[in-house]
Amino acid sequence: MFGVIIAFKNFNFLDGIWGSKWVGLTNFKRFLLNGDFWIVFKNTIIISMLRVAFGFPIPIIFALLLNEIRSQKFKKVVQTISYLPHFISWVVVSGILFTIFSSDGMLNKLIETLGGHSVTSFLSNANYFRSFLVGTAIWKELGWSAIIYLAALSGVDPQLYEAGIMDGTNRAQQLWHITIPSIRNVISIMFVLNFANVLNAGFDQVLVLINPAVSGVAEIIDYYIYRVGILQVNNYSYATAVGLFKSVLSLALVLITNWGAKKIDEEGAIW
Amino acid sequence: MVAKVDRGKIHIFDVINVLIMIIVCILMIYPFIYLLIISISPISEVMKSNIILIPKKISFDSYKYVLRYAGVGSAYKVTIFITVVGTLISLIMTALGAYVLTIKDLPGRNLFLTLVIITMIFNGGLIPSYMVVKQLHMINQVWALIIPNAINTFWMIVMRNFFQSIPVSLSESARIDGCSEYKILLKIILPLSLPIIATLALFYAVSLWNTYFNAILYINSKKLQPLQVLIRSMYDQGSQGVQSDTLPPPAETIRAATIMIATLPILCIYPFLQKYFAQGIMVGAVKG
Amino acid sequence: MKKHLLKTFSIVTTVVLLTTTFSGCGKQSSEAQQQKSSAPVKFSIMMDDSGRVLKEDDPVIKEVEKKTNTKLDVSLVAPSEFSNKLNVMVSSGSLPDMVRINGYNASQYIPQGVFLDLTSYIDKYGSNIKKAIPKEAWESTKYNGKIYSIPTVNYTGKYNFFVRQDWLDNLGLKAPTTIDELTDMLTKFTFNDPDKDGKNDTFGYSQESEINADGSNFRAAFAALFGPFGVMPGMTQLKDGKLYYGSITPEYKDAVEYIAKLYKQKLIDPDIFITKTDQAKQKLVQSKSGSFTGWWSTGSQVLMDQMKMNQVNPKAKWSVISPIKGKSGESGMPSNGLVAGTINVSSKCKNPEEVVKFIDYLLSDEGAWLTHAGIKGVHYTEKDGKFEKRTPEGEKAMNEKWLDVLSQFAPRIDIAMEGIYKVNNPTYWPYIQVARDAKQYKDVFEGITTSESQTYKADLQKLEVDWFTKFVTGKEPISKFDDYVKQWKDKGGKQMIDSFIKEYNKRHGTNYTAGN
Repeated sequence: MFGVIIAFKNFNFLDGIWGSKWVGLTNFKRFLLNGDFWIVFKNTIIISMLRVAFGFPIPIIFALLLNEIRSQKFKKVVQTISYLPHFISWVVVSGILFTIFSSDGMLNKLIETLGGHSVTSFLSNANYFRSFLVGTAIWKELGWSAIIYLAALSGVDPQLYEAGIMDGTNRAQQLWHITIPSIRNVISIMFVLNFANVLNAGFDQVLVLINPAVSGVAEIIDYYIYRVGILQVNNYSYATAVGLFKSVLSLALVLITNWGAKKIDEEGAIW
Repeated sequence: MVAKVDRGKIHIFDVINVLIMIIVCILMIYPFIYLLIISISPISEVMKSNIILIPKKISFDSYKYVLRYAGVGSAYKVTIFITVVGTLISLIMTALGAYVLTIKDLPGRNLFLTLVIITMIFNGGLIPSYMVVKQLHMINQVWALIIPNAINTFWMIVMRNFFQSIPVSLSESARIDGCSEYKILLKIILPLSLPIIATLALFYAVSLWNTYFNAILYINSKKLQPLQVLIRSMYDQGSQGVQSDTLPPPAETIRAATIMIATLPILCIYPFLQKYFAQGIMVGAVKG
Repeated sequence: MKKHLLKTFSIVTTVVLLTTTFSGCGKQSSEAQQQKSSAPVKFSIMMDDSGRVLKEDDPVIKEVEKKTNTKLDVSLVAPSEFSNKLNVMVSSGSLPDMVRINGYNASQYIPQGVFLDLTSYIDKYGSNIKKAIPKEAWESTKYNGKIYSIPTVNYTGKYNFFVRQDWLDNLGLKAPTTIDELTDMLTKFTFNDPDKDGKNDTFGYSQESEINADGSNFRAAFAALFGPFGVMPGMTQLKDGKLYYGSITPEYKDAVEYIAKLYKQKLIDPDIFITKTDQAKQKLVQSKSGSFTGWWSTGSQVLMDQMKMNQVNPKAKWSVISPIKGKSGESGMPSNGLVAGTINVSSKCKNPEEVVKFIDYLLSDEGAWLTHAGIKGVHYTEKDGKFEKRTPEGEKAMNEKWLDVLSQFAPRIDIAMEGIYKVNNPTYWPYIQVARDAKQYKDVFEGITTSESQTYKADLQKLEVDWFTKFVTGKEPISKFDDYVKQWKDKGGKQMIDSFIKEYNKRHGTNYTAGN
């Protein structure tokens, strides 16, 4: 933790963390006054928000649907298969995505066979690239993210359903009045915690999928830190300052959502 | 459970639901099948086409090649060690931390929570982390791969949330009966929280199994390198220059085989944990 | 349920016990071993793995230890994480005795007192070191006239222009030499069905590795197309006493315009900006493209993969052609830099004389043959005092990637290439010769780092590749070139070039000024 002071110093190896010179807010000024940074910032916010808007609810819906499956065996098989992509690294996934989405990839071949006009690759189309990032991220993590909700669902007391049946409720009503309220706390806490990492916006994924044709819309804060900080030793303090800025923002997001969650339900909030 | 209740009636919803699940399965299993086929195909096939559905010939050369690679055995040992021991340590630490934070009248509870959240969001960066590990004399020891990340604060808070959903009356009555806090945790809370424990066991095990960056940073000795480090170097070498006319099996199949070898073992643990996810697992415990 | 938990727990404890016992044993035996030997000097070495793997009891390293009476603790780090690891080790004061650092990267650490001044030790104990390293390399790595880095050298020429010979033959074309002939060839490669399969499924030009979004390597991907315009992006050239930074010159504009024209006509793979290295190689092997710029080493790997699939495409044949000549005769490929990397000694090292003696042995003929080819008679055979061939055992060691680990620490390019590679790979040796002997564009600022360049370079590189991509893909018209140049200068480009010139003049006692 104390390493964040590097952001306010001009770090060099000879003097170490404590000995390096204080430079105040110089490092912060450098990126706040840099036009490029704000593009990066905007990209990060857009990608993060798309990830929240779609990436958050979809695993919950998946878990609920899976929970409605009658055959226990089929359920287990689906559950196991659904989390497979989580185990394949983005480097490998990017190769597979390329075989599907490149100009002469499977998708375009399919479109041509069906008599359509081939489209420019999603990988190089700046208009679609962010949606492409978010879509593939959801695909990869869907099953994995659903596990926590499945765990919560398994804690729902079956007696509640039995009571529901006696009252003559149908399945949709059971879902709405029994299942969802039972896992509401988990959903809420996951939502709040989500914001702690949301600004990371999937660095591993961006690192392998970014390319010069789309870097204007795809460069996120973490990639920026990687680009300017890792490659040049002198930028260590600068990169730390950018990272600190991102963390402060994340903290603010967590506090805001936590406040919102608390308004709705005391149990669903962190504090 | 639902199945029991509605037995006999098959709704249109069920049909659609099953169809959705089948589509999801196809989408999800595609990359795995793809890699599996490449890993057992002869190279000429792989080179000829990007898309192979059925391998024309099966060859396990690439698996043989990878398993012969210097140090695979010891890397497996290290990885299994850190996965097993690390998961155990992580679960214990996380459960302890989560339980303490559920106690409503704990002095300074909100302060602790705030500190936990802050460490989750802020991190000191590489150099300070390295110095801490160094001062704890853990450089070049497997413990450096287990201890620094023993508690994932994110999951600790989720676990706390699950603990909180257990009726307070249970632990309070135990407290009145004179149970110590440890006993309450062990005898009441944990048995009622098997689904979340299984989930976290899975999450911790998988992340420990995938230990890569910390190993690069903290481990210098080849003997203590976990599997992923070795796998990555094998993987990267697909694109390295070569110095001789005779080549090992070509890059693509070796890569696919290394991924299989590195992933299959950890994939196998999920089905074992799945039984803790069965609905109603806690009913008996609550009643008894 | 409880039973299950208990069972799991007992399995876990057993594994823990087993493993701890095991690791306990390992430690003891290695300590015992150390005590037995007759007090050899202990050294720790860290380097990038360069595709090599350490083997326990590696016989070559054992032999080196025996010859030098040392005990080596070598650690190989994945290339992608090397700079992270180096940074944490430097800042926590736990640097190994010796590190091998790529390129000129060591120069960032030297002013901060991380490494030792070796000047006097090399004078005393480094006769082989001095013999193995050319003067130019010493000069470009010195700091304040002192030796802090022992440079190791590479051929500066690494790039080749690879062309499908069988396609040329099918179309009745000769290898192109001028820009017009090049355009003609690329057009026919694209539209005249060069592979005679009746399908319009080929491109004229593609790449062998991905183009990074950070701008660090687009020069390499398009080098063969920049060459005839007398310019290389990112490289500064000296003309009539003035220094011109490549990426903002009128020549660069012409080159970009030409490339954009090819791209628009689909003579260049339309996916060139998004294709990853693996897919790029696969495309070449699948005969989707007829030419590319490549390193002789990786390029020849593509060729080898292709040989492996002879049953797929028996006719495929790549050849290497000389760089295309421009309107007034300019041509060339980018120089890859003379200095491959440097060996640096930690300023905390206790016995620098011994370290220098050790490095001196590695760079001597005897030592270098041992680290590059293995043990004579075991891993390779000699004939008439020259390398003849690897033994099966040497071949196996090479495939298992542990034979020449230390050759990556202290490489001798003459032994690696002319000594061994030439004999082992007669087929590919000509490619290396073409690359080595081709005319090269050299960056006059090679090896210079200034605090301005460290501040601005990352952003400028990105700016360059962004605009290059926009121009080529037609997102921005080339008429906006002046806007680009202005942006480049405003974003620190001016300061960076000025700082380079100042440092260059200081080092060489010259008085050059900026030309653009």
